[in-house]
Amino acid sequence: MPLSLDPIYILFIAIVVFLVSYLLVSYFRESSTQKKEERGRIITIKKCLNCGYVLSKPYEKGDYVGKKEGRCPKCNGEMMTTAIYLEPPPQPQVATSS
Amino acid sequence: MDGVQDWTSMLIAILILSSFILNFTDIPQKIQFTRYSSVVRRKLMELIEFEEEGRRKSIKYLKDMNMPNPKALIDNYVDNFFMIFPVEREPIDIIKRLKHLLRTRDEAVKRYVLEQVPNISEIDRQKTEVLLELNSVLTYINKVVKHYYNLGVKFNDWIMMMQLALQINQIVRLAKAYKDAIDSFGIGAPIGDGAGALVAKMLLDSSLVASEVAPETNLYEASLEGRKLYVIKAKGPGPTVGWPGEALEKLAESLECKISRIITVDAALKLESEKSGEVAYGLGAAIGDLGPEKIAMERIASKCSVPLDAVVIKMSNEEAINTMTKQIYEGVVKAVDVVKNIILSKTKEGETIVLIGVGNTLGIE
Repeated sequence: MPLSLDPIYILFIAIVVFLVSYLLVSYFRESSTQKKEERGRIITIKKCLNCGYVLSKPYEKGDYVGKKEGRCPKCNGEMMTTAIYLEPPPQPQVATSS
Repeated sequence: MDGVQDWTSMLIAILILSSFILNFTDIPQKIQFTRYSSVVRRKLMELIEFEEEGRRKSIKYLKDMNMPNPKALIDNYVDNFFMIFPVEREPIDIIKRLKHLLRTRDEAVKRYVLEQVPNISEIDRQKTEVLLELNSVLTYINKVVKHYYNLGVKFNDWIMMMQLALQINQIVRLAKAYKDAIDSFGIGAPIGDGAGALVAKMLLDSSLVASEVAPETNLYEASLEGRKLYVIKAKGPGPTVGWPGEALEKLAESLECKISRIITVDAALKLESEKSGEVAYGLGAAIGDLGPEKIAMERIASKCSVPLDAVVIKMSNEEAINTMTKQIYEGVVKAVDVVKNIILSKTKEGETIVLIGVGNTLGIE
């Protein structure tokens, strides 16, 4: 028997479609917010106390701001840690059309 | 047309029935209760996972510090060492009483760690104390959420369950920040809250020698463009905030109030619309303690009749207790310029200025 397109049928189908799409949207929204976050990397900035040469390297346990350690590769002066911070992870490249 | 009429009558019957169910029964509330309690239950599982992960990580970091029995150390700490706040109904000497309680608790925690590990270094002892505190906070958050969830279930209180379900995302966010902070403190790199201490450090010459003017608090004597500059900050690089208020009291006493300006620098919680690392300046004591240190600064400023400046670096709660981000570091660099500008524009050569870098000095000497 062919299904006649009564207004009631249309309403019923619309309600079902709405509920299913609402469920799907909420599911995907929740799973997308639970993506694993990238923390970035911690950088140590060292500066030569003699010539001002700045060196950046990955943070190592035991580094602290004010720590005097190592020699300057340019003038052999004393190096001091002047900053330690978390560098954000690189942003994904967005394709641009010219 | 008969089919349509049948469907129409059925729809009207369904509507009337639904209206009756919605208006004269508790079924909608029961359905809502089931939905909200399932949301809270799922999030509670996340909170339990955070607590367990935090515990695992702390045990790892404590083992790296050669602790003999880190699990027992944490288990015996969590739930104990709480502090009951002083009576507020009688406000006379409340700050004195609060300060006494805070000091006593600090001493008790310090003694507890030293009893367990007598040969521990000062930095490791401070790190251990913070790790214990973070575990304690994670357990406490879990307990509070479980308490309200169980109460809601016990009394079928759908309003309580709804409130909890609506707030749970913020609670989870906070708990996650505390869980991540365990890594930050375990690693030992500066945290966002150290912004004030870093500003102070950046204004100092590398050759200056500090004197410990109050417990875990250093005082440096420096100079800037012909002005005498006293810098107070917590003693690093361990995770401590020191006692900057007490240090200022002692310094003002020794200088017989001959101070032209007091500048406080600290991290401040940003509003959601504000950017991390924004710098703002104003008046007052920029310090987020429970009261004793802040009031000490205010009292000294008013006793000596000295302007009290505040410079703040804005950040979120999560950023404050986790490794300092580049954005906040850039804010610190800006704050150094703001402080220099205040000193140069508002004081004259030969005057004495006190700069207080407030905050946790982890990873900053």
